[in-house]
Amino acid sequence: MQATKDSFYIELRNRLVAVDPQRTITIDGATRPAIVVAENEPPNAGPPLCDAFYLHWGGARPVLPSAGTLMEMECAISYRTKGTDQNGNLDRGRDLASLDNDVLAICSPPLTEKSDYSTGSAVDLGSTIFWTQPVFSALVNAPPYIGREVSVSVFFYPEVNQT
Amino acid sequence: MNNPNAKRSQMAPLARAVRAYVAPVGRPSGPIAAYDPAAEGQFNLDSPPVPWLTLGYVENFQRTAATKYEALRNGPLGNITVQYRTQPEARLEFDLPSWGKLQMALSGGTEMMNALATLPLSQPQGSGGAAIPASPLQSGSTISSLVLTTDQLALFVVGDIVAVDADYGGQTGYIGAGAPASYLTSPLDLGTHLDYIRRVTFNISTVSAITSSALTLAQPLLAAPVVPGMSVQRVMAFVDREGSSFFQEWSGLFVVPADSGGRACFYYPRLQVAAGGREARQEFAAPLFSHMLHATLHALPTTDLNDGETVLCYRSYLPTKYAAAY
Repeated sequence: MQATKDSFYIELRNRLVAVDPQRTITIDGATRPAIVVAENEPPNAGPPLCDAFYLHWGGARPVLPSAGTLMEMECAISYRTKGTDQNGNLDRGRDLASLDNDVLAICSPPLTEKSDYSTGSAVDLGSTIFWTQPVFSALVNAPPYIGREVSVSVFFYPEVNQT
Repeated sequence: MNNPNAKRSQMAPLARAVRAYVAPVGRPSGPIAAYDPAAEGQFNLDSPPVPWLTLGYVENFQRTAATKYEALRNGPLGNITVQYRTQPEARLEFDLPSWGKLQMALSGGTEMMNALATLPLSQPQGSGGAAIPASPLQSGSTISSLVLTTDQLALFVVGDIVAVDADYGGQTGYIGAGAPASYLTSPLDLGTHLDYIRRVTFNISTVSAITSSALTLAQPLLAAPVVPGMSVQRVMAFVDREGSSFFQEWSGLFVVPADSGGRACFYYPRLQVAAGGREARQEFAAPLFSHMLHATLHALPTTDLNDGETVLCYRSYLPTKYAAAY
């Protein structure tokens, strides 16, 4: 499953760099694309950063016995914004729409090659992962932030006993 | 055995939709668009090889083989000695969520009329009344750019659908540039049918921009190159008619692109309509509904040059890498 998680994250990260190169975050002095896998952050990490995408991996289950070992894993993409100070934070809605647009853009097309990144470089695993169209939750208003969560089901063939 | 180069999990195509393409058939005995899975199988689905034209996605794609299977029997028990096939026949049905000239032609199956922009006070007619006179194309016109004189250019705006073809000159037989659009058994009156070919032609597009001398087209015209004598008219609507005599005929290619890898393709060299146009209603958020064009098609026979066999449809599968071959 790790290869699926890594492949999904890497693909979305690369797409974000292409569609919105200005959307970056700085963590520990390092500037990087504004997409984070929550479970890969340290336990004592601070609260989620604004204007960044956080991937939260959920449950997984087998899908179709007739389709071999195909499995489905839930992924929630959460993000929030408080707008900009120079606009008196009146642009929260527009900023959130911009984040929404980025999610739509980086989730399409809904498939990519699956690779093993455990050695640091991509090793082709000979299959694809693919996912559903993103489903957007209602807006979550938690002043001074507004945000939402996007649900995606990611399909993959597990690396274990794959025949 | 876990062989990384023979994965059985990669043998089950899992797809979201079927994509459809058509190509004109040269009638009555001209070329039929080829689809070679070896040479073209992995084509870019958003940019099909020439002369294929995209129809978009189709729903409820259903193939039906109707070829008859007969048997010769022998002996007191009537055991089957040999089987054979007669009356090769195949049908195909699907729904087209997208409406357009090609989509309606394949669904309706008769002449697909272009309702040309009419003159003021023109007598109303079901397929369009007397049309605003055509604008002759000037030299330098291409399938993506129509050069016009300045006064004629002013008759068009961005977003117009345009039909480009020759004036009717009294000819009979198959009519229309790029694809046979109708069939005339006897000549029409030249005085009142000058625009007839543009009324039926598939040589259409949409104006995407207007320069100081030309209309820029959003999609290339079917008939390349543009030939002298062609003119352009505005199209206000597409019209087909129940009860007409003409049969549309197109080559069809249907692709099931699997997200899991692999690609299944169904190539019909010759398709003609097998039932009149109707629509399929699909509710999706009441009171909104999708009104899809339903196509019922008959596959006509061709001959495979590799062995001389009669063929109605070719089904091909392009496995993904590392998939087991069997």
